[in-house]
Amino acid sequence: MVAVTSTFDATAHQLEQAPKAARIKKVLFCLAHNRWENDKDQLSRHSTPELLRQVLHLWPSLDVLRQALAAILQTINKPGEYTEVANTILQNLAGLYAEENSAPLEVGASGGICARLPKDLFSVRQAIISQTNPLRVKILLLQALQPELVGGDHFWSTLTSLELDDLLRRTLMTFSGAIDLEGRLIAIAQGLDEADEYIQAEGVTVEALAPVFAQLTSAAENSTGGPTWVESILPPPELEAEDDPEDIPPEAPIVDAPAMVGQALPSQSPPPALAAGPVVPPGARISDLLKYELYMEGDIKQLVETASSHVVTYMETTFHDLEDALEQRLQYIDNSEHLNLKYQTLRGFVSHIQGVAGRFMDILGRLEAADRQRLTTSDPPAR
Amino acid sequence: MNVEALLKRYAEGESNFSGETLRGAKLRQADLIGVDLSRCDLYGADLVFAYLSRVNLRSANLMKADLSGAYLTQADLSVTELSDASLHGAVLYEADLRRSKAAFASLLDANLINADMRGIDLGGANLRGACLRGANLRLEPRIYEGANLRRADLQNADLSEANLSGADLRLANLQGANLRSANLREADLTGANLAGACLEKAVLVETNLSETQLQSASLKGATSERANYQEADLTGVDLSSAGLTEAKFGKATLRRANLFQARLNKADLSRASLREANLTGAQLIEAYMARADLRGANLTDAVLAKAEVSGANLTQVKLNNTTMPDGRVRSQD
Repeated sequence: MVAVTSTFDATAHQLEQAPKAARIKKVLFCLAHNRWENDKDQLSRHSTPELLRQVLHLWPSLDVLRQALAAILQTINKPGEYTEVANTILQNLAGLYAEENSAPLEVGASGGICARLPKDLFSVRQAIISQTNPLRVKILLLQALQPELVGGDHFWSTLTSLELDDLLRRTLMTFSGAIDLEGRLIAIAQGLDEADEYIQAEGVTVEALAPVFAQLTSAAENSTGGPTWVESILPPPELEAEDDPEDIPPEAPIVDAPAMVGQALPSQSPPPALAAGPVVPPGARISDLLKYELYMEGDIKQLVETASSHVVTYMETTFHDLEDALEQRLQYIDNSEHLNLKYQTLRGFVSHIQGVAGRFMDILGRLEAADRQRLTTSDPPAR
Repeated sequence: MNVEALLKRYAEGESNFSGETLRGAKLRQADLIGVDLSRCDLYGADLVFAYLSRVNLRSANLMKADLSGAYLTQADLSVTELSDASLHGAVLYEADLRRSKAAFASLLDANLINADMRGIDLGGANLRGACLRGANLRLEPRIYEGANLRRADLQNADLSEANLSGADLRLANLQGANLRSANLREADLTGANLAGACLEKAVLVETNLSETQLQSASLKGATSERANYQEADLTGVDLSSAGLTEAKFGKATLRRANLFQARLNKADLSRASLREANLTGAQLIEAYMARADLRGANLTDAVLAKAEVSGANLTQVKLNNTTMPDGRVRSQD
């Protein structure tokens, strides 16, 4: 939690007086507004205390602030100099958080997601607001983002101080994807009063965010570690020009993919599970390619079987435990009622798992469609 | 009348509770769909997440009531007192809010899509992030006054396709708001903050935008004839392809503005700063540009026939196929 003390003014003053105050302000602005701003006029309209207040609201712990700063550093073309700026911010803000962990920041941790977020989320918000209760969505998202606030005095005041837009942006920066988010939100929704309403709100939220997550994932693949296996056999997308010579604005993709035109197979960064397979050099013979393909098929099949078997084993154990717990609770209930309740509960459990699996399948379908759409619209066909 | 009695009678099939006193009633999550609560006194009532779709709340007193997350789809809230009420995240889709008094109410992230809000008073209200797509707030002479949104906080609100003609938006905060295709004809936005707002294809005919903050806003393709932008800050604004015939820009700042193919015939740009502005292909026929500052502006393909440029600073302007006030076409050597 953020400490509300007079050190706030002192911190704001220190940041204003710091040697790289202008850069500090740019980073604070990006933290507060999720976009990079180079326009001095725009920046001058926001005071450092105002930005600081927004930052403390949006990033409630030093840990999440550190992650956000690491993400921003990924997008700057002078990461060395901005690392110093980010560390100045971390050190100065440490006193405003209850915790005292202000370990210095390392470049290259993850992300750059702040830069890849869409400029506005009006269509996402409209999709959510028009189909479900906005307040329930906000409650779910705040519980997912700041579980430490649940049940506390500050939950409601925090909720009213944040816009749905803020929460959606933080969600996109915090969760790895729609499936990750869905799991978390379902768990929260089920524990709330009027769970059905929250489950409906969760469904709408995940559905609205899924295409944005898909775009972020593909942008991340483009910006770090070279292209994916599928993309590597296609020509790379055209790069946008940089607007500013000093700092790369976040809209510009930070792409540094090597030219892959006409290359049949990846020369770097294959999916980790396949890395141990036979390496096929570029320009290999058809028989080699077939062998590689067959190897891949077998390997992937094995991967799926292993993963499924883990889940099934876990389900069997959970089922067994649930049955035991039921038997214990129902021991004093007469036979026919006992039987009814037992099978009704077990069927409920299985049907719930089926529901979740079905949702996973839906989301996968949507992600696949979004990815395919992106491929067909942004890339020319493979040669 | 107490809450228990109300809910019991509703459960028994009664739905007319018009004129009842229910001050401070605890009706959180109550299901009152379709009931008649017109003229009820619900001052300070707790109606959080209450199901009030199609409820008749006409002329009711909901001052300081908490309606956060309430379901008010197609509810009748006309002439309702909502001052200081909380409607945070409430669903007011297609609600009837005509002439309701909602000054200083909180409508943060509320759904007001297609709501009828003619004659509403939202002075000083919090509408951050609210969705007012297609909402109707237009002035209708002799029937509805223009909606009062003076000093309202509409930051990041979605007002696309909303009808705000004749509305009072003086000193409103519309930073980052979405006003795409909104109708703001004859609206008064004096002193409003529209920095970063999207006003693409908006109707801004005879709109008063004097002293507004419009930095980095996009008014691409807007229809803005005879609008008043005097003393407005339009630094970095995108006015490309906008219709600005007879618009007034006296003393306005248009530095680095994009006026590509804008129609500025007979516009008043006297004493305006157009430094480094892009006026490529702009129509400036008979424009009044006395003492305008055009240093570093790009006038490629621009037409300034019969324009008044006396005292204008034309240092380092880019002339390329530019039609000058005397009708001659000039290009730089």
